[in-house]
Amino acid sequence: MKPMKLMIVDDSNIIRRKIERSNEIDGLEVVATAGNGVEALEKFREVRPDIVTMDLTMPEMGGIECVERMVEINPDIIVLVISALADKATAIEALKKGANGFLCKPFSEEELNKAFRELMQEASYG
Amino acid sequence: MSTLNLGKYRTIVISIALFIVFDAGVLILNFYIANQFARDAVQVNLAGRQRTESQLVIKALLQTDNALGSGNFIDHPLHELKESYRTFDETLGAFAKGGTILGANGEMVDIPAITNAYGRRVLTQTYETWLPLREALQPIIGFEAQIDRSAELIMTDDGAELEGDLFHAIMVATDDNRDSRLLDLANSLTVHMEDEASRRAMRLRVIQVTGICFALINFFIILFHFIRNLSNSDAEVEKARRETDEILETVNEGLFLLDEEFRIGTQHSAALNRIFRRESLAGVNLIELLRGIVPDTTVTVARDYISLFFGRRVNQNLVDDLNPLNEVEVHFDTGSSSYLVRHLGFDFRRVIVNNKLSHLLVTVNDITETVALERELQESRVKSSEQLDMLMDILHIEPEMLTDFLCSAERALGKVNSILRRSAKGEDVYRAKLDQIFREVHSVKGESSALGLSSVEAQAHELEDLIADVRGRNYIGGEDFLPLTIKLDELLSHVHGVRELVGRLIEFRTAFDKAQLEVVEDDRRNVPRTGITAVLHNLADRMASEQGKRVNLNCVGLNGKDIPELYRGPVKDITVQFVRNGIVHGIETPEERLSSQKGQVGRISISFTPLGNKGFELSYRDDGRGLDLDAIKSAALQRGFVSADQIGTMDERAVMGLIFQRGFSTSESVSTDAGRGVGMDLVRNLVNELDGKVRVSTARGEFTQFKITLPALYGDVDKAA
Repeated sequence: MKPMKLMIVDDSNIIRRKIERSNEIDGLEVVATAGNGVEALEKFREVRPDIVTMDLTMPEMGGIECVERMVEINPDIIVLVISALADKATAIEALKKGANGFLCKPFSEEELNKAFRELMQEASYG
Repeated sequence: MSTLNLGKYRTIVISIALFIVFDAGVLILNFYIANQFARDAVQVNLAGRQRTESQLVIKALLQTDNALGSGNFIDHPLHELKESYRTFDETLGAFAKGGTILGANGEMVDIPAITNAYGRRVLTQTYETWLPLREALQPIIGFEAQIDRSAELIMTDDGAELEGDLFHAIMVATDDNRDSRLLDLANSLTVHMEDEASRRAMRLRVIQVTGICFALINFFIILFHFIRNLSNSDAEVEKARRETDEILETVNEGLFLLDEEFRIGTQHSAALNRIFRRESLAGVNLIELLRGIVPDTTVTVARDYISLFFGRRVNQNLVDDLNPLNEVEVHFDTGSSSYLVRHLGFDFRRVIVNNKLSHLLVTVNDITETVALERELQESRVKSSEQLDMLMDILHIEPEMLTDFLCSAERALGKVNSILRRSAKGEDVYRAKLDQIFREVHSVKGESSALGLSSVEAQAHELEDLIADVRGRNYIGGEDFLPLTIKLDELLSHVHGVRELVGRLIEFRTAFDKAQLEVVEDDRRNVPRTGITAVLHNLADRMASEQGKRVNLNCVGLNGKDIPELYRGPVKDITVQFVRNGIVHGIETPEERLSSQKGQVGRISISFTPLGNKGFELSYRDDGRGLDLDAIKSAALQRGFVSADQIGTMDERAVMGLIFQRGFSTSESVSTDAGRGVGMDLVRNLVNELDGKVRVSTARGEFTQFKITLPALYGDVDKAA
């Protein structure tokens, strides 16, 4: 089976690297990373990822708008929102716009892998 | 391949199909036999007609002969003869071989050949009997009369021949009773055919009755199956319902189904009523239910959150963290404007039926006790951490000083307690009480700060805040003292806590001392700072680092035994106050000092000197910015200590005296270190109480100096000297 393409969107280098490093799941391959919404959309059109991890507070274009635009471009896209729990309402807004799951910062490698597994399983059903 | 899945309806469908097959079979048979019936009727009819026709042939033969003999017209009887002959002969042929002939009703009918043995036999006999007559009749049937008058006909040769033929035919017809035999044979055929028809009718009745019986049996089988299945499934449904009821009655969680309009399903656990303190919940809108008991913002977020589950995209295992209702505080109105506060925990799961989302299964728990337990745990964690901090603080303080502090703090707070409890009335008395307790608390704060007992210092500061708050009010009543009493209890119990900890440490120490006795004996060379000196150094170091300043403190004559016991307490309080004020207001930052051509490190010197008969002198001096007389004046004006007119007439000494006024401060804000304006007031009071004197001298940008003289204590002079 072809590996699923993962794109990481987060304005923090540390978080981006953490996701990249901890991502050891079979069938998932990091194809792009982006530090803000505008860059993320550009690369999204280019590499056509299957799964996106999305930060909510970023410069230039926030996560919520970015999620909305990505779902418009590809309704099958799977988005995992990764954000601090400070504002539940914002995260829920992102899910309303079409994101599929939420992971709370800070997260452990185990939690991240569990989230990916959940989402990939769902994708294979759909 | 797709197969028809009938499930539990299989038996009933098969039974109905059988019923239809039976009915259809009986109907088809009915139809077939009814057709045969019709044909039989035609045959019986035709056989009956043969009887008549056989006699009509004989009769027409005789009439023709008679008419010819008597000279009458013969065409009518001849015609009848021909017709009867043809009908009889054709019908006989059709009975033998089958064929289409003219029926009794004038229509052509199709009849089959008679095939049964008896019928064939009768037919054969009829043929044998008929054939001679048929032959004899041939010439007559072939005769065509040209003249219609018989009298003339008889005269012709044809007429003579016809007469001969008629005679011959009559002879044949009557020979051996041929005419009656023909009648008998036709009769036999008719009777036989009637018998055949009634046999067939009997067969049909049997078949019909059998078919109907089968159909009825089948119908009863269907009915039985149907009723049995129905009652079985009813029993199963009833059993399942009872089990569900039992579960819902017993389970401790609130369980219910929620539809897309947020309506609670008709079946829910009994616990749900207890949790929401409501009788009927079925059909109630959950959002409306929440609206009364949680804040509106939570309701909005909760609605959005629940809606996510009804959408297809969200993975329900990845949004638990966002659940705004997983630990929500609810307020139940218990009437008379009082509320019952509980904590509820909600959980939402999708219910998928036939690959479609039908409802959400909601679980609610009353988690009030769990939440309370967690809070207690958290509080005890904080307390432990505080105690640890306290322990660390204590470990840095010299035991003697700590014991001194504890005694004086307990004494001071005891005094505050007795002041608070003393009955009093009137605004002035209240204010005086507040002043007194403020001074005591302030000194406890100062001492704890000097020792670095930050937890006690913080609590004392809070109590000071409360007192200041009451003091600031326009009107003071007895009830205003209540919060002070509560806070005082807290502070006291905190101080007791410190004492307890110290007690524990002493126990440890005693145990260790035994083992370490020798080692300690060897380690006496490096004598540490003790008594007030240590307190002041601690205070100076801490405050200097807090204020971003550098200070070199030099103490002379302030170690434990240098000061008479009676003065130790006040000297400590006074010097603590001087050092605090000096570092906060006097000593400049290193940068300021550099720019005013001073060394970066500020200097403070404190000395306690016995003056023999003249008593003692406590001297304080710092090389800071000196007293800012203008600032003192404007602060005094602003706080209303003096009027503008008075200020004008005051000399420098008088202005400096203002700093000893109660409540004086040049600071804009209050911190634990300065700003309340109680410090110098405390100094003045202490000095007054001891019958001493204070002198102040200062130079702008150079120094501030306080010299306090205390009277000699005759009992102690020798010892101190």
